[in-house]
Amino acid sequence: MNYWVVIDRRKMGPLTLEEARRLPLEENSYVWHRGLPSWVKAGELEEFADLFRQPVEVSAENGVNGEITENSVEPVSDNPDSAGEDDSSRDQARPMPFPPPPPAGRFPGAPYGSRPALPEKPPTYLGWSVASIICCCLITGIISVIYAAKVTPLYDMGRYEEARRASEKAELWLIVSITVGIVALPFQFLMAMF
Amino acid sequence: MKITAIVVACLAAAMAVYWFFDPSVSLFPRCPFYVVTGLKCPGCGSQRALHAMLHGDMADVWGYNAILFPLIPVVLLMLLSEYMHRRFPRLNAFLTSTGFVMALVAVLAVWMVVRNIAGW
Repeated sequence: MNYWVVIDRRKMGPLTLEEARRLPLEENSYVWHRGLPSWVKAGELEEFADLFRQPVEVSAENGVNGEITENSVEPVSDNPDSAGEDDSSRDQARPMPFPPPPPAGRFPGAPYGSRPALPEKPPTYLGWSVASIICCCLITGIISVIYAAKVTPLYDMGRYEEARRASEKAELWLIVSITVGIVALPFQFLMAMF
Repeated sequence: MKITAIVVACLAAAMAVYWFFDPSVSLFPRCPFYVVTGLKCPGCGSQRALHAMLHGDMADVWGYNAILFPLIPVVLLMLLSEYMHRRFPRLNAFLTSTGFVMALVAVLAVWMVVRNIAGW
């Protein structure tokens, strides 16, 4: 199943559950998957709720040992209202036309106070890669462009680790391209003279 | 940023080489792709064009590799948007989008076909 999430007022997806769970989600970050009538807060979905339970347990350390379990359970089960709403809205949800688009572009804005830190976008090296195709006339420049072109789409989908790896490969092939094309030039020049 | 410094240093060194030596008369190496396949790649002629450009002979640049005229500004814009992507987020998003890169590669591919058929 594919998930869409809103982090820092940016819509991301489609993501697998694993990918979505690795993102810096907050309890009130909006999440959507097929079958939901609208965006739902991550804390209200079973598959994300456990991500937000740990801080409650940590803060419950101050309490008496015997009460920890009660305290840690209570805040979670304290949302019978929202849980009830969730159930009723699921009942109201009519079967969606196929393929179902994510809910309309206007998603509920995240509160300004909470800005979970997104990883910095890795460099794409796209300009340098294209320049290396022209200057060095090499297959390696094309490989570099292919990896460089992947960086932004992967980053926009929230697949930061893959974006970083694509960026590193683009950099590697760019260095290879430049090494072969420019650094090797004087050696070729010398060989041509003799 | 260290890599960028190295790249810039290499480009500066290459510029100096291309300023002092004319690739069309001196014993400069030919494009390895051309030597092996006999086909002109999209970048063939760039060495001679670069030498001509550094000496201000724009007509010669057009004759050696005409694609450089549209491509150099585009590449400079891409580099600018890469390093200033905070100031120009939408420009950077456009220039690094899959659609734009595909179009750029397509233009280079068409240029390669045209110059091999027309002998440019």
